[in-house]
Amino acid sequence: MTISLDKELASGRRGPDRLAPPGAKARRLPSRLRGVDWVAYAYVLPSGVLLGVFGLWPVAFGFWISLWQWGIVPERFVGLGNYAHIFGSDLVDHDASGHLQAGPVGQALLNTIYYTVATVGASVALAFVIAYLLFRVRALRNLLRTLFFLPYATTITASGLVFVWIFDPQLGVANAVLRALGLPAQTWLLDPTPIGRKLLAPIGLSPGLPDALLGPSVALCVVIVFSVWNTLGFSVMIYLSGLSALPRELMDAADIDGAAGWRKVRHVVLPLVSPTTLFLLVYTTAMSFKAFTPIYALTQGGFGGGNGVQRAGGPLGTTNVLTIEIFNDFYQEQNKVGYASAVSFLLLAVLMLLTLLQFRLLGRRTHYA
Amino acid sequence: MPDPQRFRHRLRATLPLVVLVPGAAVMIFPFVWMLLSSLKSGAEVSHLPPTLWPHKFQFSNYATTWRTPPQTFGRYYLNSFILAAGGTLLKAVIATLAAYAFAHMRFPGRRLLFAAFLATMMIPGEVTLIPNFVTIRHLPFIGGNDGSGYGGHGLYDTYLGMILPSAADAFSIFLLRQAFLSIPADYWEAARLDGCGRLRYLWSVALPMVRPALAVVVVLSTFEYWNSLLWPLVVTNSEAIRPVQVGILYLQGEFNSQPNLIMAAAALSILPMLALYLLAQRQFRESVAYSGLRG
Repeated sequence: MTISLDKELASGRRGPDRLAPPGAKARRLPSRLRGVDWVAYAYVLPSGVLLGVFGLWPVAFGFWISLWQWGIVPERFVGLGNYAHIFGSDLVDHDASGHLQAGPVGQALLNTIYYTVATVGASVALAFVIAYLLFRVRALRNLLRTLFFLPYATTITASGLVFVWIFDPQLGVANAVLRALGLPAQTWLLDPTPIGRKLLAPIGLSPGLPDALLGPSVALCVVIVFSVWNTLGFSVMIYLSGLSALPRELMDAADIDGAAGWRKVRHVVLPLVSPTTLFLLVYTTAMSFKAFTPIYALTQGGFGGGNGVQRAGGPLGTTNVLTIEIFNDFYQEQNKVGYASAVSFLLLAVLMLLTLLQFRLLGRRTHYA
Repeated sequence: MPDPQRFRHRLRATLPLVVLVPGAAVMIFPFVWMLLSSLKSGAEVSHLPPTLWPHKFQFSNYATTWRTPPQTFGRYYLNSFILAAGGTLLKAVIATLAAYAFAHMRFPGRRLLFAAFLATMMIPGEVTLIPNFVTIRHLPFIGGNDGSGYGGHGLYDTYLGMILPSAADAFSIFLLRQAFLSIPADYWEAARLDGCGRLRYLWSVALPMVRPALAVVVVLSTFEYWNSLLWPLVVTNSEAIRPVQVGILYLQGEFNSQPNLIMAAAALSILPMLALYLLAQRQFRESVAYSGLRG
């Protein structure tokens, strides 16, 4: 009886924290400090220190580093020199005859965009189809869900090795399939030819555009296939939870109205899951833009013998995305730590711009039920 | 006489399988191919056209991978376990403490501090990579460094150096705080009247009540530490403390032109997480569902 009374008393206040601790000391404190749990600071301290030192401080410190020519130790303060270098020649450059061409960072940015657009587009679209079908079946549902999710749950480095083996130019099973179909074998991860040129060549077309504008290289396409395979399970899972949260009545109403098949998907299901789609697009775009491991695992040297210390980036640098560029400048080169830091801030700026743009453009077309 | 309506219903519920079953087969083909390749002999794995089913199962490939070069793979494995277990334990402890304080204690600056914690989730790892490397290397008075952070190597090339930067994780704190918030304040009042201290209350009353959330944090953290590549790669130098993920890229060169051994290495490195995934599927799915808050 007393206990229940106690509970009522306690819950009548705005939480137990409001209760002033007994003793004279509390009475002398200003009212806003009465009942403060000073020990709370000790609880928060370990996380706070680590997040401060390794989570927030690096933003300021990283920018500071980007203002230096920095090797093992800081060497020379160059102000915005690293940024000037990026925007002056490394983003867009002129070749000997004065034509515009992409500099190393520009090429990396373009590769990143190809990689991101293709990975996100394919992964989100496929994920919706699979999730919708999974949502509709009963039989084998749990098993199928487990299997579709498996690649996402396993180590990227290890599954990357498997893909390198599957796409091995001599012994890979991918080429074995092509040969069995009477098609020419490919060099896959060693092929810098842009996919546009590759696909147009058999029908006798050879566009006069520079390679950079003809799509990702074949090597980057293999990386994209790997990344789609790898991230699909995540998007499927998100769509599944989005679909199961939909109001049943709306889905049933659509059935009664005779909206079936594609029309139901187009006019009922897709609009209803559009918040999920928006989230997935924004989230997977950020993830792809920042991706390092899948690209590194597939193109850091291949079976030709990479011990992890050579310059990554694939054939002719065609899988050299921004993160790889940062890694190479930072880890493999001397004196380029400050420069690498500047590139990382370029990545941050582009990523923020992209996220903002997506919310602006897609947010308007999203229906929040 | 089968009911046509029911038949149609049943057809609509099974028709998706026509797409889903082959799709799932494609998804797991790389794993199947990995296992099959890892069990073939050196001659068979290099045979053209490739065989699907090994003529002879050569299980000794796994032993060979484990033993060549001597002590290497076992060492990588042990390092990964140290990294995953140590990192996860540290992360769970400090996240629990902070989450509990944010949920059930009153102190000036609580909101601001929590917002600052959450803000760290928006900063991509590529931006923090370089400054954190410099910080780890030049921590004053640690690893032979003097007061200005020079002279030694700080936490560079140590387990702690691999663990520390990701040990505090705003997402875990957020998740646990949400769970703690669901515990009524009366519990603490009752415990306090019985003379129970904060820590004991947290350990023996509150923590058991947030076990599902804690399990999500532990599973996710184990995966993240086990699978991390970039940070352990740049912050270590000696093979003796490198984890499996870095190690197998090195072994890739070591086992050059022996794909069966490389596939065995890949299988060995996947195995622990595969087992964990199958055991903790629910936690894994929950963590994915929560990642909506993580972006």
